[in-house]
Amino acid sequence: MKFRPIALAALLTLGAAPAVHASPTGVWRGSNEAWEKVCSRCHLSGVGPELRGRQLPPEYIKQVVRHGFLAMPAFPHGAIDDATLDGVALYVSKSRLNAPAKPAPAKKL
Amino acid sequence: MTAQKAAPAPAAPAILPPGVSASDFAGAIREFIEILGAENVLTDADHLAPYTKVMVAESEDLHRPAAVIMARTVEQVQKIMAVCNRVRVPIWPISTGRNFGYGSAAPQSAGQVILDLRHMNRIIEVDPVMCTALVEPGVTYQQLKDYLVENNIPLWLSCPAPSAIAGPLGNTVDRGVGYTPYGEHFMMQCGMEVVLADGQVLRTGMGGVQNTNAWQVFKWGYGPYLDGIFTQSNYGVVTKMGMWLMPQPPVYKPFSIRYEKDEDIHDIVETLRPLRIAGVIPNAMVFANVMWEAAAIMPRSKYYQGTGTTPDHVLEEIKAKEGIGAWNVYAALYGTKEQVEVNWNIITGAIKASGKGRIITEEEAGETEPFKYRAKLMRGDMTLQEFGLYRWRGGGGSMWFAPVTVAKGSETRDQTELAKKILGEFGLDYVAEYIVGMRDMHHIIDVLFDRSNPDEMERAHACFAKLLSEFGKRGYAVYRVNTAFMDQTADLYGPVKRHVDQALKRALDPNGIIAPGKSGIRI
Ligand SMILES: Cc1cc2nc3c(=O)[nH]c(=O)nc-3n(C[C@H](O)[C@H](O)[C@H](O)COP(=O)(O)OP(=O)(O)OC[C@H]3O[C@@H](n4cnc5c(N)ncnc54)[C@H](O)[C@@H]3O)c2cc1C
Repeated sequence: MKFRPIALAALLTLGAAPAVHASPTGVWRGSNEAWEKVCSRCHLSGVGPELRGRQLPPEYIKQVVRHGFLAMPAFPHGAIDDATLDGVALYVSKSRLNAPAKPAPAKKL
Repeated sequence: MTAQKAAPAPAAPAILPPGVSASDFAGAIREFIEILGAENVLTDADHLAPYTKVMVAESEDLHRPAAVIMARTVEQVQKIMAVCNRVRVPIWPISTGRNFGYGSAAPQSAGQVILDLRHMNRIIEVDPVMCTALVEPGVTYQQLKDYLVENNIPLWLSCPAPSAIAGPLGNTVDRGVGYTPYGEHFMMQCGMEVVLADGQVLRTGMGGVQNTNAWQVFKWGYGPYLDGIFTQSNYGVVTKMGMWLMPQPPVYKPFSIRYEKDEDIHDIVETLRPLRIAGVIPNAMVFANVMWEAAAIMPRSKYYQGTGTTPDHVLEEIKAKEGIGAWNVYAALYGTKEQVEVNWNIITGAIKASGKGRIITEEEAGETEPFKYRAKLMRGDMTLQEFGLYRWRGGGGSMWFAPVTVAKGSETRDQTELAKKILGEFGLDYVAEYIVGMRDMHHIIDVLFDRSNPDEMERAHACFAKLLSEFGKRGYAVYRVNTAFMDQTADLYGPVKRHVDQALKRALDPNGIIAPGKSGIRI
């Protein structure tokens, strides 16, 4: 599709309707996706603290996500909605830690 | 981090836009609710908290928003402008709002209303033939990447280091940079839609021509070229942006070159500049110093328990034990097998002739960090690995001091020495990289400090002010700055520039409702 003002108008109306969005429309498909594409990039790589297996209370997790904590950025509702965050918090809280998170090996060549 | 330590939400003091009465502001809020719906007008402490967290070295109270409003359409943004003009409510537009180290999502001054465009997140078009995209402000790099992957479109993005959560429009209008051959993002931007303070909708470049299909392919249009005045500025709210995307090359070859001595920075620049200008090395390569590299893999407490500046002997130990260079080059080749081979031979020949530098290929580096994340960044992939910088000293304070450097060895040596000296005076570390542009380099220094320690925060603030002024005395100025130092930086660019910036502001936004203070510009 080539962009034209008319096409845009159509898009705007379509976009206003609540639809089941695929991820490329900017809405999380579920808590898993948010965890994988955001949280885990730091919390499974050793950049941020290991969270799994600590039975952290979901309320606490949500609080830190919304307010940030030292180097941890704060995430507003526009970036992650309450329902998705509820899911992430529950997942982290109940997670088990079989093997400790392994930071990627440091370079030593 | 433990559950007990979590800070309870500080009750945000109700704060008003300067000069606006409580009842007028309440009226404006009611109008915003009519335009946007109550769920898109945020005034309670819980919802405002995420927008209040900053990394800069001053109190969040100086940057506390009065409210946050979220628009989804251009028409809504136009209506918001009308209310703001009438009630004189200042709004601070953000797109994805992840401007860490430059002010995060918070406004330059307290009492502004944040206009969060995160929900305006349509990928309006990706043209796989012309290799262009047109996006709204809330589109994240991750979202665009997912779109390309899921639609099998072989195009690559160019992203800043926090690629997974930032977005192309916000990054580009703040003139951010990435690491691919398209790393100078504003150069690769083509066509904008801007809502002006008076509610008019301007399309730049070819965008004003009825039925044009060239909006995303020809940057300049006709007459004065306007896109630049909507970057690092407060002359309008950008609601769409066109950009060029890079075709995925058949062969991608990232590599690193390790240099042992601090003073090698001189020869690195002299050896590699000609290759960059000639296009043999096509990407925005980086020269990262030992602490930047170390921070990507560990906290400094692994080697040093003290506070203050990390001593040189500790850095020597880290270099030896962790296999990190004093300077570490990351560059890449892109193209057909034959093209890459030819350029690889030129580069290895130049390094050999220079007599220093050890080349490390992707095969040698394997899965090790920081090579792995650098390789991701140089192909525009998703990562947050560079947040490792914040565990170096801990405490979550960060301000980028980013002077422009002429890509000459002598100048890098001078800037590096000066920066190290000043940071040392304040007990801080020289954690730095050079990002190589077309002729310039961005000398990016992460002024890291413990924001939970008032004394260190104060020192970081004083240090940053001194860095700006001492560099300024020698003719050096930053390419972009955080919200705490926008006026001091604007002064470095001279009174005439400030005057013209202000004249444009008065012409385009006579009530000064858009982002007062951005880049030091007010009516
Ligand atoms: C570890 C780390 C590494 C980083 N590395 C890089 C890097 O490599 N390159 C780089 O450039 N940055 C880097 N940054 C800084 C920053 O995080 C990025 O630049 C990020 O892309 C900016 O946030 P954003 O994309 O969400 O833009 P936003 O925060 O949405 O926008 C940035 C600013 O642009 C203006 N603006 C935004 N939208 C609009 C609009 N619609 N109309 C008018 N004005 C608008 C506002 O003033 C806003 O504050 C790094 C940060 C961290 C923490």
